[in-house]
Amino acid sequence: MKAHGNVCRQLAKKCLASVAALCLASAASAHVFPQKQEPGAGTTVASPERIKIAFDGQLEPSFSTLTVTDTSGKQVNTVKAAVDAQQPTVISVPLPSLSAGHYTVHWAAVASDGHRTHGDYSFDVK
Amino acid sequence: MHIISTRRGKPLLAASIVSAAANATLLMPSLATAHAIAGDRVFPSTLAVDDPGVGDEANLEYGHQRVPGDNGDQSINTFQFEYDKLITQRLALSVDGTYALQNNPTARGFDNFGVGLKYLLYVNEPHEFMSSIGVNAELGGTGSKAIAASFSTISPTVFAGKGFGDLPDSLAYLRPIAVTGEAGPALATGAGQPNAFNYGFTAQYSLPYLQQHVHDIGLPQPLANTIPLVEIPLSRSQGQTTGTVNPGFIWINRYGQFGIEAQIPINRASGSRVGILMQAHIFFDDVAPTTIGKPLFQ
Repeated sequence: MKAHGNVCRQLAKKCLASVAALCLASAASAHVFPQKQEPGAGTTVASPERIKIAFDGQLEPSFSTLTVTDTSGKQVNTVKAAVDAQQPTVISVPLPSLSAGHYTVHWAAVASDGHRTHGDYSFDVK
Repeated sequence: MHIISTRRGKPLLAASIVSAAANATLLMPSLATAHAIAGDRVFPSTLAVDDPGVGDEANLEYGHQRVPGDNGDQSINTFQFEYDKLITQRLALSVDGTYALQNNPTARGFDNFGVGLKYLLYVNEPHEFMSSIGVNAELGGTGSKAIAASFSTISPTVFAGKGFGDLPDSLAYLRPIAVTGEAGPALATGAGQPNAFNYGFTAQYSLPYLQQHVHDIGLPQPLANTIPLVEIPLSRSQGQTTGTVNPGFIWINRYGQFGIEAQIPINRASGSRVGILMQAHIFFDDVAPTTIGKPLFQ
């Protein structure tokens, strides 16, 4: 089974290369996805001062957005969201004092190379 | 459809004929695996049933299964690779190959190499729906005579996927569920060679979706990036249905994914023991977005 062994070794090398590619590719940018959302999806919180989402890659400040709407679909944030200049993976938007109710966060994240992802989630204010 | 060759030696011939149906399922074609996004849904590149997306990516898989043969059970190990290249945003070209090793009787070598095209037909983001069509050709005579068939097999296939993110709030915890499927004939070009109908389904529960879109339950890594799933690849030929039920997990991030599944035969013709399937997958559109990871024509 020498040939079998050689094939296994070659495949093992390829798999290791794949692992390395996955682990070492952090310098690249493309589709970005949320890593941490504050407040989190489905949570019930006191009126939050801001919505903050940390992504797994750098954002393009000019095109990345974050808005919050109430149950009627009306936008409740009055200030435009901004990407953190010190942490370009983080976008946040300040909120006015929110009354109790159900709110939805809508985000669109554009990576520096133009790849766009978007999503939404809800939280409740008690 | 890959079929272990019947061309070298009578023992191999007999064993291969008996186990052809089972092998057809084991080696079902995966035309093109993809980084597929529809709205909030990311469809992972599943191991046995192809997902509905297209992309710039590479896939490596190892499979082991025991199937019945004329002289008792035989073990089959397969190492499969596939490379997918986007021609346009919706059209992908794929090249795939499989190195197979089997015992009882012993044989090893490359199966026929395959080429394919896959076109992303329709995406509905609010309803997390995606569908595509494709055709794959396993080119007869391009593989080892010990393993590969002398004839080609053409497989036109439709693919579809649906996420349940549009369920009402009362069913919010079911929103991470997604189902995908594929179906199509495998048409053998050799005279007298049987055709087959290949089809399959997956059911997935995306923990990343749960965390990001439904309820942040504070899952730690690597659980927060894990998708438990069940795949059911099936094939019907000459009145016999073969296939497996594959429970497993996929761990996914923006650059790639790893997957592992058990392969539970649905009947004796599909295998005699539980097999295993493992995957490493790279999304070139995220690893190398400015070079090999972008379509040839934007």
